[in-house]
Amino acid sequence: MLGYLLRRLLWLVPTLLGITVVVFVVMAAAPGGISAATLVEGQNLEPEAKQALTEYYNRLYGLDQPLTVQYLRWLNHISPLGWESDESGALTGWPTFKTPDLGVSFRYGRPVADLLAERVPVTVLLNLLSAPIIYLGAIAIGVAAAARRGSRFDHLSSLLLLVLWSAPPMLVGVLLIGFFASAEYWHWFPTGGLSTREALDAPFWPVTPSFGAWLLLFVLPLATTGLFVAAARRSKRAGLRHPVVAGLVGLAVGFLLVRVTVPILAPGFLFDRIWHLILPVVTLSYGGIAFLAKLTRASLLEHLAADFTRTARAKGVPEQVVLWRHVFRNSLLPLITVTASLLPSLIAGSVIVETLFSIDGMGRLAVEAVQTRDRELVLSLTLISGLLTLIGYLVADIAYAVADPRVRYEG
Amino acid sequence: MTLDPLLTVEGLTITLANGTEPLVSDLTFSIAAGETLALVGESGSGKSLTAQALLGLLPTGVFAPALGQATLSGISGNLLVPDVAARVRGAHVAMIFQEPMSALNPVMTVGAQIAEVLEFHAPHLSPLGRQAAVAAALTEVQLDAERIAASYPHQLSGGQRQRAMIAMALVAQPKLLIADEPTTALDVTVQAEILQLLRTLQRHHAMAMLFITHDLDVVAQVADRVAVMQAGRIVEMGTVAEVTQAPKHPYTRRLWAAQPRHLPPRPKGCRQTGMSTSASPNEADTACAAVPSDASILDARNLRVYFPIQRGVLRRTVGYVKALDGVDLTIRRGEVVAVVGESGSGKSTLVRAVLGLQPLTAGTLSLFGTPMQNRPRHAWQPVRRRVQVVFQDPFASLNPKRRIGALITEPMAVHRIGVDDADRWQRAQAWVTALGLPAETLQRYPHEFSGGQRQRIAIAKALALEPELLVCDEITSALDVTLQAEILQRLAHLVVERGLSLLFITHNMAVVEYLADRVVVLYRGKVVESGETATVLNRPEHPYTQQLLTAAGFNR
Amino acid sequence: MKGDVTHNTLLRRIAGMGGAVRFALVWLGLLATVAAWAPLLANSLPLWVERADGRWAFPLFAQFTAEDVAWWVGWWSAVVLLRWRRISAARRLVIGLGVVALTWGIASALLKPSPLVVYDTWRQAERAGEVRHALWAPIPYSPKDYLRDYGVTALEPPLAAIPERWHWLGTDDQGGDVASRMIHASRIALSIGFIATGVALVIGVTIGAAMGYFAGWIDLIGMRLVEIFEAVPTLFLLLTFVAFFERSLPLMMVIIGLTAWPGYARYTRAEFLRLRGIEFVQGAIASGLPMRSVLFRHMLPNAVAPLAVAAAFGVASAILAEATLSFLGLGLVDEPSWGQMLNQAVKSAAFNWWLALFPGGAILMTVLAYNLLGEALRDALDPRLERNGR
Repeated sequence: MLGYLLRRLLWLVPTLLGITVVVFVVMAAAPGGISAATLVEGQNLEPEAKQALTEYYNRLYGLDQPLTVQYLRWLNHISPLGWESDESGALTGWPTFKTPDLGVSFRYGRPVADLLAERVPVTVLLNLLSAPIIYLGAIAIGVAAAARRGSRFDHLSSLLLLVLWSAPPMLVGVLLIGFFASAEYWHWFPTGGLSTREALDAPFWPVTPSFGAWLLLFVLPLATTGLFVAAARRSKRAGLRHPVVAGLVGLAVGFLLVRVTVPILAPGFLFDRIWHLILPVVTLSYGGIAFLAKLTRASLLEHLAADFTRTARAKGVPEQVVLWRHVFRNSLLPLITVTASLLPSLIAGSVIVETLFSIDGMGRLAVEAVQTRDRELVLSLTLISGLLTLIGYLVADIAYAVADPRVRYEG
Repeated sequence: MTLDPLLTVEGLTITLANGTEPLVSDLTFSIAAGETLALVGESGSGKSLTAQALLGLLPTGVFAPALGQATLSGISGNLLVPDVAARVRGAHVAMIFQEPMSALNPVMTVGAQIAEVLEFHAPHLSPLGRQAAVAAALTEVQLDAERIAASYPHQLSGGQRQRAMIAMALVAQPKLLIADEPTTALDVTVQAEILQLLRTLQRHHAMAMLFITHDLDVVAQVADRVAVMQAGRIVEMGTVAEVTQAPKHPYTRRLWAAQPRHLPPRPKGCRQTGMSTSASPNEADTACAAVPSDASILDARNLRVYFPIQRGVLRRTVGYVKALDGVDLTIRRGEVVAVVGESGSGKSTLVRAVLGLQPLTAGTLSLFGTPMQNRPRHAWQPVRRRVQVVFQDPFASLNPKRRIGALITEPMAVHRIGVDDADRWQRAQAWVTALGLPAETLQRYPHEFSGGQRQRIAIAKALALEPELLVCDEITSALDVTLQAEILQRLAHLVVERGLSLLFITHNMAVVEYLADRVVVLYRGKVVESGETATVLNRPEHPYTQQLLTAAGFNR
Repeated sequence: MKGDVTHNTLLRRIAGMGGAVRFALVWLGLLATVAAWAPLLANSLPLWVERADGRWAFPLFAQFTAEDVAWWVGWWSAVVLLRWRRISAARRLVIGLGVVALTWGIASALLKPSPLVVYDTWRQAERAGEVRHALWAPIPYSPKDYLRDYGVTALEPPLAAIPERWHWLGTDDQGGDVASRMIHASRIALSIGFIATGVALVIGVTIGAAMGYFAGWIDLIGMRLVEIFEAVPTLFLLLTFVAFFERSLPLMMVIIGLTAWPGYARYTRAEFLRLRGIEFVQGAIASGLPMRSVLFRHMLPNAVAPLAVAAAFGVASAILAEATLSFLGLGLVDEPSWGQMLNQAVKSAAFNWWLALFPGGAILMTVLAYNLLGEALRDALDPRLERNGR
């Protein structure tokens, strides 16, 4: 397994380099190519300032030199390992570790690296929140549909999943904002942003008059969740026995109870942030849930008819155990594989979500950068998005190697 | 061996959920404790369905609930009822299946899968107790308990997996073992071992066994009584001696007659006797006279094909898989040479090497007197027509997107056989009819035909080019015994009629005995024995050959 | 006699799929019809006018472009060719494309619509009484007609009670009629869907076939290329292209195609790798058939199945990609687009629901239709069914 992973890690480098080449080629192939003039154009600067900037760029990037040299110089700038360059643009010293110089953004007048440091974590937060929700939701729905194959639930859910998967995030986001976050209909959620102004200065936890009330904030939801799950497990009716659904319902009931009974003076930073994140995360994850749920169902059905499942039944293993211990564990494998295609779409989805909900993340920055023709910013963002995807691939590879003994013991 | 029946089945009938014709009708039989009943039939006879129905394993959406009565002594209730079946599965009745690779869960260790049986049928055992029981079960099937218990299925060989399956089935001490073609997917030598193991275990545990198979040789080795199934019904039942030596039902007789060892001897060509017994003697004599009988068709010396093994991060070559390691093979005109080998012997590689589809690492290959080893593609073109191949899998040997007529006539056009398209079409039609296929075959697509028919189409397609050497790569291994008999007999006639040479790959010694003039035994890429069929079969010298022959029932 | 059995079996299987597929085909047929007849359905210029002085004029037809003619002829050829079952589907496709291309060429040479159109000309004329009779299109507004002669017409809900005008689906933020813009936007949606997917297929199949057939270092390099293009999220790659290149329709199509080819390459490669070792291909080579026959008659037709499925889904995602870009304001300038209209739904303080429902709904239905087709194709082309075809 180690050899397999090492090999995947090693291939990461040329892939990343390849991305830089592709991006650079796009730059170079554009009308006007890469020249100081195109980098500077579109900015409202006085002629002298423009001239100075043009000369600066020519020196910095060697824009009057052949393309391959330009590419190498640009690569040198953006990589964390390379040569430092001095005033006149010449390279000095030996290759060392240095901070990547991604250039300066025109619109914000700040180094791109700073902008990225601020915005990338926001996008990562959105995605990290969405990913587990997607997987848990998809598995719950997929398993339920596969176990009830041919039933009305199965047919209805298949149809609903297909419609959800086809619905563009823009439409869903717009509808959610229009109905749940607007003045005209139900104003349950904020229209945008990550926090209200006040919440940024507020304490982390909600402000309550007493410590007891503060405790209740946690105890109540936990208690209701536990109650509902226990009730579900004991239930005689097969339809009510789903512990995950029961748990979610319990959680929701708990929060409602809290809202109604516990006196809260101010929501505090955490709750405010969560409240702001609900609609964006829903918009980001529903498509993934729909796609993965269909895949889960298909994979489960395929494995339910497999030879080893028949063997397990022949051994006298109860059906529930067959489902979870045998079928599900094998069905997980294609789910992990498909993460590779899910990640890029999540990061791309962030663009739409952030634009719609006015969240200052990487995606929104990219759109603004394109609109303002801030080319350096666009390039850096594309590179970072590629890097994030590759990291995600690596995590998926590790997960797959852990899950599938055939890979683990193959090398 | 008591005479009280352990399992009694009465009137078992199985139909499809939306079908009217029963797939299995009115089956009635019984098995006593310690006795083995073999259920024999060709594909589609319903024997597998019967086995699955007895354990309640038939998928409910596809099949209607099975009708009839099945009772196990000591258990109340009808086994065909799902609740009763659920109580009985694994604990009192166990089952082993045909494909051990796909029958085991790939992501659980073998030990864990065996322990699972105990988890549900021996709940009083502690985890340590379970572990001990698992080790005991594995040792009983002659496996290294510690190593195998911690291994995953993909790390074991076919024989080891089947033994593990047997251990898994027996660990809960069932009274009845249902074995659904457990050795069909295994090599002949391994098959013999497994059958031996099953017999030993059965005696040791005083277990009854229902053994499902299509292989009549196996029946003799493992069963006490036999039930013959045809189209969902039992047509004959009795002791092994009764049914094999004095079959009463015409179907049983046909089955027995189709065994390669029971076929009438094939017509001998002019090579053997100097005279032919074919239908048109004049033609045969002319054919014999025209060609020198020692003309070399294929002359391969010291064939070596090595595949590099690459390991590690940088994929360095650490060794070689020696698929062919110094193989000599000669075939003369009109000769049938059989190459016998099991899996891993290198026979598939040999086929590809002889056809020029696999480059040789070393060695010489001459076809029709011309050296052909590692020559470029265009140099092979003149030879192509004269060497043709028929493969094992009838479902992958014909392009599903083209009609049969186009498939047969296209190569003919390339090699300029026939004066024009109409002529080629007629010749194709003649070949198709000669192989017993319906008249409209040429206009149809492959998926409209059964496996046996597709195999015959593949043979017609190969013969339409009028080759001098026909390579047959296990062409009858996937077919029922009656179909196999038919194809073997046709081939034998063609050899005589046309002076065709055959390179016949097989693992079935009985087929070798029927069809081949000479036999070459291949083991791990090397030729361990070769010679005239009669010599090798009656006085084998190499221990591997002896093992093969014993396993095939030749030296008892 | 069975005749063309495979053809029947495939179509029979799809037709047997039921309501979902029929819905998809009906919707797509409707869309294609609307797109082809667009200038006749929604236009500020009347088809026929009888002036006060008795002279006739055909202002709508005078403004017909070569594109309009090509679409219209394409629609008619599709109607004819779909029924003409005697020749193979591939040949019919080629004939259809040829006819359209020919028409386009001839029309470009002959037609000379004036570049500048004043949309309210005939409306003014009618109000001034200079027109005796006129035959208007059912929706008498062109997509780019911002109704300046009516004053401010922005963001009016559908069927608002306005004395002189009747907007079935309301107006957008520039004052243009939504129904008209949606009808004309269907052209862009359909054409981008097909051409972008076509571009992606050509690139992907070529690279994938080369990788699968030749293997070796071609495979190594090809897989790295595939991984590179897959690693960058599509939207970012699109954004990069859009940032550096000007925005024109053909360029958009090529760009979207350039981001979609890796999937097709993977499928083709996998199929070719599988087919390389399969018996009937080995047999074809052993029979001495020429390489081009092996590739095109034996391997390629058997590799088509997963590609067809992927292409159906691919068209859906191409349409979605264009809509997303337009939604973000990065699409074609001024051309009507569903995505761009969707963006206007939440721009002002009020929720302009008609701009969410209609253009958004159109995107949803179209993507849904293609996804349904893809699923139906996937089920119909299940290789297990091929094996046991009898």
